[in-house]
Amino acid sequence: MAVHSLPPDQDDASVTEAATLSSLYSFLALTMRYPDPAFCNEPFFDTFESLLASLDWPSELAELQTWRRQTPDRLDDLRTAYTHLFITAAPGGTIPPYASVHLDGDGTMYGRTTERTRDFYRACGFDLLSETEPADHLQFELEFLAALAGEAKFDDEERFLQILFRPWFAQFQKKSMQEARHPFYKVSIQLIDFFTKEEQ
Amino acid sequence: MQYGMVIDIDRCVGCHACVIACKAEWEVPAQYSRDWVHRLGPAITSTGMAYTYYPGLCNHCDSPPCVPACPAEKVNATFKDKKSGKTVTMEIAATWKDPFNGTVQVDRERCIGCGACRDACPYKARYVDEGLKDENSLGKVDKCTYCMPRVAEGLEPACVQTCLARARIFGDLDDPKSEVAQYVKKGAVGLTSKAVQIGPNGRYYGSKKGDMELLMQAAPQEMPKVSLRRSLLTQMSLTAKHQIKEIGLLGLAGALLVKSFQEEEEK
Repeated sequence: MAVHSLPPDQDDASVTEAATLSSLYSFLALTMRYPDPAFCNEPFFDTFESLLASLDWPSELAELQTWRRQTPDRLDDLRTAYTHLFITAAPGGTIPPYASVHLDGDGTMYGRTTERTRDFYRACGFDLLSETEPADHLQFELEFLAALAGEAKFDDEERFLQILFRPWFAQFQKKSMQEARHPFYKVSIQLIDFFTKEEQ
Repeated sequence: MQYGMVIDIDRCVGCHACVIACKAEWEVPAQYSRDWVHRLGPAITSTGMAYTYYPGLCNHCDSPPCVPACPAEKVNATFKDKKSGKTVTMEIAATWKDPFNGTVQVDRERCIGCGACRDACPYKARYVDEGLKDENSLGKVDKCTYCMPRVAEGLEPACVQTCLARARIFGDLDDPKSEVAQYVKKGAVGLTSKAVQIGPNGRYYGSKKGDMELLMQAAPQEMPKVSLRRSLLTQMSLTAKHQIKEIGLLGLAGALLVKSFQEEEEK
């Protein structure tokens, strides 16, 4: 499923734009996944730095570089940060990366929004490969956006962003900026915000 | 100095010789054009039936939106004024406004063919020649240059020279003695609208109110919305793009979703 096919009638510029955007969403999805040695490695961090450099984000780039320089076991460090930030921090300090927690009022997972999100995936011809996490987990939503961009379904992408993504991500991002101390997660969330709010 | 072009629509006969001359001079591929002639009308105007032509080209605007839209890497370039010998060094992307003659030019070598400048132009005066794409670009943008290489040799722009009706007049709008400045004094105006006020230096003159009404209706009514995201994506370096693509190719990105059975069943 990693390869998304494009309609043949797209012009070259849109094809490139769609492919780049799709790769970018996929990359951002990885940043929100539990750190795994299969992807959480030096090329991955190099890519992260290149992206920040080419977007001209010097302070974020410097933060990430400093963290890399000062952290010998980066995988372990990221796993600790991920667990703390998204799962086990003290009450009020955790920022669960699930839409329903932020949107459905009672702060619980697997709410109405989870179902609405999965319905949206299905309506666009996609479904989850495994049920290890709810459909409204941030990494799935980003992967879904990657799939839509990869098929140049920009209308569906915009609709998903407007209806299901931005309403909760804006809250998530606000809390993250208060709670996320780790430069990797802080910058990743800023990047996600940056690339998902532009066409609003 | 600000080069400009006046088009006297009283004189234009719609023969398209200007378009052909431009294509021949600059080897413009058949499917593209640096300039055009559109027929306007016949239509009812406030003064009755009118019918005219709209010969168009890049307006080399005072505030060209195509220039800031270009995401190509900037370089320092030095411009020299032939008359005074004065020089100006400034940072330019792959398209810029010349500080001395006011023309808007393109460096096709550095153009990445993203189409951002084309999309930013309300007059649709640019095209991307996708046939010229290479390792570093999706094609090359092109547009009217006011024939600067010809002008440098003391010639008129090709479209001006070829116009038998003498409907096209080229010159320095800042020189009050020039024919173009005289035309402006007489009432030649740029094609502008409430929303599009970017100082076009192509000016149109017509003595018939109905003709000018038709012409002004052909003016763009809104500024194009340039996709900020597209500009950001093109701004990303090729290295970053390749690296991100390679991460995606690991098969990890995108591996959590599948094409649903629902869709397969529908097929």
